[in-house]
Amino acid sequence: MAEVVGAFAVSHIMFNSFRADEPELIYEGYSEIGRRVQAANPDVVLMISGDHLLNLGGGIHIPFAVGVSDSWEPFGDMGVPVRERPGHRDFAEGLASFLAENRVDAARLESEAFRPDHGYMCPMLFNDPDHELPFVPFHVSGSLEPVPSLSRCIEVAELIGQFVREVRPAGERVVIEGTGGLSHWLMMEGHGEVAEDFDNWVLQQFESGNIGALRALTNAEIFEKSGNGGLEVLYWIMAAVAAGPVDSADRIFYQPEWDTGLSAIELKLAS
Amino acid sequence: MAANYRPHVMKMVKDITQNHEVQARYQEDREAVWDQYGLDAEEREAFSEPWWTTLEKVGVPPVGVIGFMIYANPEIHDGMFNMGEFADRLLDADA
Repeated sequence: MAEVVGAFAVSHIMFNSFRADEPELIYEGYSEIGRRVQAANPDVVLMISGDHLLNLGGGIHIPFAVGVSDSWEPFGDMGVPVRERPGHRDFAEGLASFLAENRVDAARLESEAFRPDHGYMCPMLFNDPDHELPFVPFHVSGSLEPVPSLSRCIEVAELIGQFVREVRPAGERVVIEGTGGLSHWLMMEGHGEVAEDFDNWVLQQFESGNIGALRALTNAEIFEKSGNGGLEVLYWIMAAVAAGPVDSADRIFYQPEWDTGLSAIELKLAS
Repeated sequence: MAANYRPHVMKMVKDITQNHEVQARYQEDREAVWDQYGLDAEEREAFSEPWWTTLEKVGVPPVGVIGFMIYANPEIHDGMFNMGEFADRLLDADA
């Protein structure tokens, strides 16, 4: 069986430094996650996030998708350098098949149809500035309605974890990372607000290993308390569920900035 | 949380965010692009003064509004984001 050697959750936006009150804190926080990913020495990073209508949506709405391509070219939004990164077709094809065998029909994305946007490529830039580490994007449609329910996301995440632990070969080292959030109201009533109290409650549940409290949330509750962008916490919860029992989390930083509750945590797994 | 997306409007927004040629044409002659995508009078009025308060009424989801605002005005994007700056720092730190 393969091993989850690291699990992380992190926001995924980065503006020009001049627009931030605490740019170094955020840069350092993202960099620290990157250093920890590198220290875990993974063979593959499975990144759970969502497209921002830059690839999917419009003519097609895909709730769940696995990026199966051999390589990935970034969309290039947020000024992410357009430079190829390796994918991991064997891992990704296997995951898509395993999900299908278990009643989750996730779409398969090739690079012709999907250029990962900032949701994936900002964190990957910090994880792997050299563009050498294979990564598999796992898309969840958190930005377009209907958003998959948290309970469905949890079912899918449990299967992702099962796939890593039971199907992948022994010795393979896997990092699982969810990216996005925390609270932000994007282009809707409340635009620009940040729900610091709710964000801190979420972070405290991760820190105390109380994933059950997070699993008990509903999309409607998350939407009400942390905005439409706050639904990206689905990706964090999925990462925690997929990675395995979480004992606690190490909060690297929390900073309300750029109209968003930005944060990064390392999930500490039960041994 | 019910969606009222309008497919032809979504298509225009998506093409503007993805396609440099459509972006350029939109900047040069937005009414021609509105013609191309079949926008009605209400939709044209909304896109005349684009913001989430107007665009949500014609079926543009919030994430589409942000994409449209940025890519219909590339100078905004270039002024706000430069991950390349951070990429250079990371590579320097990694060396």
